[in-house]
Amino acid sequence: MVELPPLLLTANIAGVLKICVQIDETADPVICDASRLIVAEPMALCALVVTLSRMQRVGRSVKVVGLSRQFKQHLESLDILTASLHLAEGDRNTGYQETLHAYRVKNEQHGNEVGNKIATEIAALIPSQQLAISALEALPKINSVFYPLAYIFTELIDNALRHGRGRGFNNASVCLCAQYHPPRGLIRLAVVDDGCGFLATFQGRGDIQVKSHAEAIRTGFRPFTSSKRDVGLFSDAQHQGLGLTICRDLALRSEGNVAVVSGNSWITNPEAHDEKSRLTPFWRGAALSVELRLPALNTVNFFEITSRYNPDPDLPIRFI
Amino acid sequence: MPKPQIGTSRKTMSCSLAIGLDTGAANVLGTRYSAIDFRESIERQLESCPSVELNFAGVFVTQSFVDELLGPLILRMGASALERLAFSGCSDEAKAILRLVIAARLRDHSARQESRAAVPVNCVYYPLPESP
Repeated sequence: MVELPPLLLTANIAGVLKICVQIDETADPVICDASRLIVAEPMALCALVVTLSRMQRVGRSVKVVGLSRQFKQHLESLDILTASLHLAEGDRNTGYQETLHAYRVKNEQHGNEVGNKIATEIAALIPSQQLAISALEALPKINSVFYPLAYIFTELIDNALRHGRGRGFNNASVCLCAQYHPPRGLIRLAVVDDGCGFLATFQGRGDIQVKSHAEAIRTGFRPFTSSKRDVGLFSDAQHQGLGLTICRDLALRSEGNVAVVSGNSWITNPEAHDEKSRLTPFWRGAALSVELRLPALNTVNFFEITSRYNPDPDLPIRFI
Repeated sequence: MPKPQIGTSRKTMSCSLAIGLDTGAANVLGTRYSAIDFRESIERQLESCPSVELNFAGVFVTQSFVDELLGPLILRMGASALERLAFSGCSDEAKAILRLVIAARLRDHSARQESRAAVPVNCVYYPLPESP
């Protein structure tokens, strides 16, 4: 039996990944004891869910026991657990705190819809945004947290599907989760997959020499660098290599941060001036957590963010 | 999957395409997959229309979506793409992203043209010797 601690936090993702490794290595049946669990932040919950899903995918019996009634009902309302995952209530009536919004992404057709759905749910929790959402269709210039939220979610989902499910990892799980903390004006979101990870996506690229998981993560956040970018003589360049870069910049402009785990590396704010890097227990795939803060998020300026990377801001484009 | 809405103006011999969903809900078009149908519509319209107007009214877009929408086109056509494309109904955010993607892909187009120019047209092919 694998015992879950009271707190599954992004700040202690190494501890969460250690639990995931334990789950991976434990003999059948896989039983997680959640009787002490009080808080599960988005990145941690996604990592756990993706691990349990992978166990089920390979035919193992998986149970989560000791849940509080509230958390069990909450988990069952989310679209992230497979129907066959056994959830058992414990003796606690209270205990789990916070509300989570979470989804599994089934395929590329599903990706855009899910990203928008979860962004809408989170934005609707913020009182000042409720009017903005209903008026968005009529007045697209209204500044709202919905746009940056949906922007980040759809970009990260796109990455997880296009890169994470590459290199033979076609059945990798992609899980997303978000939380809003009103007192602190903090929005926390995460997209986690158990696909091929950053390092594997750069293998075979002669022009990009990446030898470690940490270097692969940093390379992924470098502007105009993508594992699917190849301005060769006869091949079409596919990706511009700015998706993760702009998501990071959005987070930093909102006084938030980005944390990335892939392989044995955990990096916060990759390629930014305050980047921090640590070793972690191994995570197959990529786990990204983004924190955004209000009210700074309301003032994020896309022109300012994108102009940093624009090689020709005065290009004559016909806007009518 | 969003379906492109196409229109043609006989007066100006230009075509138009609405980039967006007809669901009536606020939406961000973010994934590359969601751009593919729209790009294919643009390419079809450019075969028969001298100019295509892309209408972004009511929709928000990401850099990846716009790159998938226009990137391959600009890589093939270069600056001539800008003469045949017009953009309407764009929010400030959409304009910023369009400017970024188009400028960067034009730069890639130029880099590709230079690479191709470096290969001699009349280079001679020497076959590799056969293995013993």
